Amino acid sequence: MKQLLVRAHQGDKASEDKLFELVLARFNLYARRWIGERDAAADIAQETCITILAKYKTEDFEKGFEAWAYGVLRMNIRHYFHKLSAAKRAESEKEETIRRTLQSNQSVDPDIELALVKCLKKILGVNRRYARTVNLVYQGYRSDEICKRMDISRNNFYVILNRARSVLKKCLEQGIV
Amino acid sequence: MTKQCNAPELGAMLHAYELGALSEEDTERFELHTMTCEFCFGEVASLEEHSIVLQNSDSVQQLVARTAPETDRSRSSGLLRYLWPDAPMIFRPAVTLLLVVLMAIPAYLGLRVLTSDSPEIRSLQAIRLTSTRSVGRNILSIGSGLDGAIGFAVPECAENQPYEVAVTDEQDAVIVHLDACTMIDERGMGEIVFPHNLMKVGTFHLAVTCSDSGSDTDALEYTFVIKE
Repeated sequence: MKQLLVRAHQGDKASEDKLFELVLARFNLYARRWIGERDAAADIAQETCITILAKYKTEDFEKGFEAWAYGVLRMNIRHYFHKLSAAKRAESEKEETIRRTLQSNQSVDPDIELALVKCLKKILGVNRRYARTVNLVYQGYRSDEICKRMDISRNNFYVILNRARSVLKKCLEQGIV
Repeated sequence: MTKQCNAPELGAMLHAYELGALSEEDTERFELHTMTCEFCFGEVASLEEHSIVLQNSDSVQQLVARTAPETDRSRSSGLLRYLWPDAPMIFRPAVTLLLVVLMAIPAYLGLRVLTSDSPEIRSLQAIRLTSTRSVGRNILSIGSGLDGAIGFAVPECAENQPYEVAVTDEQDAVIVHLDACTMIDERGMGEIVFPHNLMKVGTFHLAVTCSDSGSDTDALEYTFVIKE
């Protein structure tokens, strides 16, 4: 991305297009995670890219282009939450709570759901720690709280998840557990 | 796509991010990391739709809830967690406790035997010799495996004077000779124990005299038989 940025600064249109293609792909993914709704997320991602395109050649990036661009996206996402319902949003209500509500409204692809259930049935039966960890996530606990409840270190927590993820991915791709 | 993460300490948050288990701050850190890490972004993108299902599917959440162990560490008692921590087996107090108990049982049983008030009394086969030369019922048995307690009348020796006991076989060979016996019961009877390992089949004579009497006239003589 750095090399594309340098070339884009120098006026290379192809590099600029490629740069923003990579940035947009990322922004679509992030926005969808934060907001939940696919269309709204796509709008925000597009809007952010347009803002960046207009400013990147003149902006002074203190922490680098990526950090600046991501910061612009986060700012747009916060504006979106502000706009949602200013009346309903109490001071104490966190953006995260709203985000969760929006995410839970996302529709689920039934084919993917079926494949996941099939693989998880095999994995969860043998990997009880993974089952317990994910169950705590579903109950609303975050990583620090989960580590405390399970009396494990943060590293251990990540290892449990990533090892299970490797098996899950293999199952989804090849059907092997 | 590159084959490894360029910052593993941030890349480790991958699946936690996909499950939505990260705090807001960590989510931002991870996303910022994927802006520059092709590998991690590729991983996230490859399972993007699946992670949405993971976060939002009721079926998946019900499956996980059914499978997850019922007790977690916060609900288990403090004592249980103390006795059975998440540590190698050898460091679990419950295992140490079990080993101590297993070693203590034989130690306790051994101590009980040692400190018992009634020491084991070896059984004896007992005969009471009559003063005639006939054998009568003066019979010991080798087959019983027991030492023989032989009672006999003691001649009237001087006060505090010990008596001698000599047991000889048919060839007059001395089998037992005790020259300073003092044991006399309330009936004036003495007793010796004839060890089982000295027993042999045959007829034996037992003579009791006062020690240092210098005379055979005070001797009392008995006969007994050892049979199989």
